[in-house]
Amino acid sequence: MTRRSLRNAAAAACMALAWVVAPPTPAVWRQLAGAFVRPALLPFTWAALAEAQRSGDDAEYFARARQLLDLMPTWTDGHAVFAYRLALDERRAAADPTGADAWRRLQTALAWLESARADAGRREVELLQTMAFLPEVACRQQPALAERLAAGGGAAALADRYLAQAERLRGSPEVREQRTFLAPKLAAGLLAAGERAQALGVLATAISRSAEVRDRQLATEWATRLDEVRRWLAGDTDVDLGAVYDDPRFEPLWPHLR
Amino acid sequence: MTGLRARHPFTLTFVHCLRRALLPVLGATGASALLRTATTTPLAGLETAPGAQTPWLHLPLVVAAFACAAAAATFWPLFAARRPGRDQVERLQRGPLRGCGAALAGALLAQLVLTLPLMTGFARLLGAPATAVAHVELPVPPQPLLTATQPRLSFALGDRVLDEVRLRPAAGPPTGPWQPTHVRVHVDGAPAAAAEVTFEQSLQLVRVPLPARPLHTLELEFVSGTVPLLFPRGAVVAVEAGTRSGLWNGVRAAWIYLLPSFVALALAMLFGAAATLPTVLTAAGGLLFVGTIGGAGPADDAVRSLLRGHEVLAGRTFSACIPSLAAGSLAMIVAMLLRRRLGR
Repeated sequence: MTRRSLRNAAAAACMALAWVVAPPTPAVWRQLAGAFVRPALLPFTWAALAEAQRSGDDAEYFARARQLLDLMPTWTDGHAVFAYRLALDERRAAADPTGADAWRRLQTALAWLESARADAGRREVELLQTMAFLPEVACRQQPALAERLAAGGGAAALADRYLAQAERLRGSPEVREQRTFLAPKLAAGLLAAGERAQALGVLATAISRSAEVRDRQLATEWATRLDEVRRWLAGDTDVDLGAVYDDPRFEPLWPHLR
Repeated sequence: MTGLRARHPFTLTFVHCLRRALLPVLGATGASALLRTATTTPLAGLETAPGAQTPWLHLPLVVAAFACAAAAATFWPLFAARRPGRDQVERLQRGPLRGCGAALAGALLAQLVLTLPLMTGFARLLGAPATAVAHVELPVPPQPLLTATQPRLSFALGDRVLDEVRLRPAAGPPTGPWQPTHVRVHVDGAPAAAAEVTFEQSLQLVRVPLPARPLHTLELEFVSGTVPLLFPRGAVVAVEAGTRSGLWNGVRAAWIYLLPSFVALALAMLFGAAATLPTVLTAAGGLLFVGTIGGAGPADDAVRSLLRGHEVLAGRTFSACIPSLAAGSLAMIVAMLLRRRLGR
C-alpha cells in the first residue's frame, strides 16, 4: 500500500467519523448550499430589486426584497428597513382614515421581523428593539392606528412585549433605554432607500424616546444631536452638524447629511 | 424531394437540437417549480407579485437557449474550424454560409418549439395574468424638470384612449425646508380626476385615472413644495384602455427570447470561420449569458413584461430588439464575406 493510499484511507475514515460524531443537519446543508449559491445570485437579485423600484409596483418591490433577504437571512438591518418601508407607507396612510390598512401593514411588518428572528443569532436583541420601535413610529404617522391599538394597551404595550423578550435574552434592563440609540442606523437605511419622510418619523420617535435614558446629561445630548439631524433633513441647512460628525454613533447618517 | 428536405441542414439541426434539449428543458422546468416552492417563504398579508417570479421562468428558458445553441454548434461541422468531417461537408454544401445559416435557423426553431409552452403555460402557472395591457412610455420634453421656476411640463398622449397614467419622477434634494411637492394634472387643458397629486420621495409611483376618450396632451403643473421633480424616460407611462390576449403575449415573448440566441449563434458562426469548437462554444455561451441572465437586450424585459401582464412589444422592449437584430445580421454578413475570402 502506498503512502498516498494510506493518506486517502485516513481522510475517508476521518470523514466517516465526523459524520457519525456530528451528523450534518438540514440547516447545515442549507448553509453550505447558500455559501455557493449566494455570490452567484446576489448581483441579479439586487438588480431585480432596483428594477422593481424603477418600474414595478409595491407588491413586486417587497416580493423582490423577500427574495433578497432569503439569500441573506442573517442581515437584520435589511429586514428592518424593508419591514419599516412596508409599515410606514405615507401614500397609503393618506388614503386610510380608519387606520385599517395601516394596522394590516403593521401586523405584516411585525410578522416579517418575527420570521427574521430565527436567523438573527446574536443580533436578535437588536431586532426585538427594532420591532418595539416600529408601532410607535407607525402611530405617530397615522393617528387612526393609535386608536385601533388603544384597545390592546396601545403602541407602548406592544413595544413592551418585545422589550420584555429582549430583556430576557440580554438579561439586562438597559435594553429598554438602548432602543433610541438604534435610530441613526434605522434612519440611514430608510434614507438610503429614498424614504425621507419615514426617516424623519423614526428620528422624531427616537427624540421622544430619549427621555427613557436614565443618564440625564446623555439623554439631553442625544436628543439634541438627533434634533440637529432631523432639522437638517427637514431642509434647515443652517444647522451646525459639527457635533454630529464628531459622534461616531451617527456614522451611518453621515453620507446622507452632505 | 421529401428525403432531400429531411437531409437539409435546417431540418437536421432542428431535429438534433430538439432531441438534445428536450430532456434538459423538462428537467429545468421541474426543478424550477420545485425550487420555487422550496425556497419561497410566504408571508401572510403581502400581496402576490407575478413580476417577481422572473427567476423561475428564466431558468428553463436559459436552459433551452444554451442547450439549443450548444447542440447546433457541435452538430454542424462548419460552425467551427478543424472539425471532423468539415472538409467533406464544405465540398458538398452550397450557399455562402455553407449551411451554417440554415443550422442557425433550425436551432432557433427548436428553441421556439421548446419555449412556447413555457411562455404560455408555465408563465401562467407562475401567476402571469390571462390578459395583457399596453404600457407605453411617453416621450419626455427636452428639460424634464418640474420646479417652482419651471412650473409646467407637457407630454403628448398621441390620441390614445387611456385607462390611467403612471408618474414616477426622481426627486432631487429639497430647495428649502422640506415640503412634499404638489402637482396639478391637466388632460387636454382640463383637470384630471385626481387633479392634484403629491410627491415626497424619489421613484414614488402615483397613478392618475384618465377619462375614456382619445386624449392629446398631459400637462403637469407645479403647485407647491420644495422637492424638485425630474421626469426622465420611463417616468411617465400611459396605460392603454382595453386588454389583449395573454396567450398571444406569451407567443411574442417566446419570439423575443430567440434574439440572444440569434446574436450568440451568428457571432459564433463568425468566430468559427477561424476558431475551433471550444472557442466558439465559449463565445456563444458568454454572449447568451449576457443576453439572457445578464439583462442586456430585450429578453429580460420581455419576460418581466409577460409576468407583469404588460404587452410585450408596447414598451421599451421593441426598441431594445433593434440592436440585437442588427448585431446578429451584421455578424452573419461579415461571416459570409469572411468565409468566401478564406475559401479562396
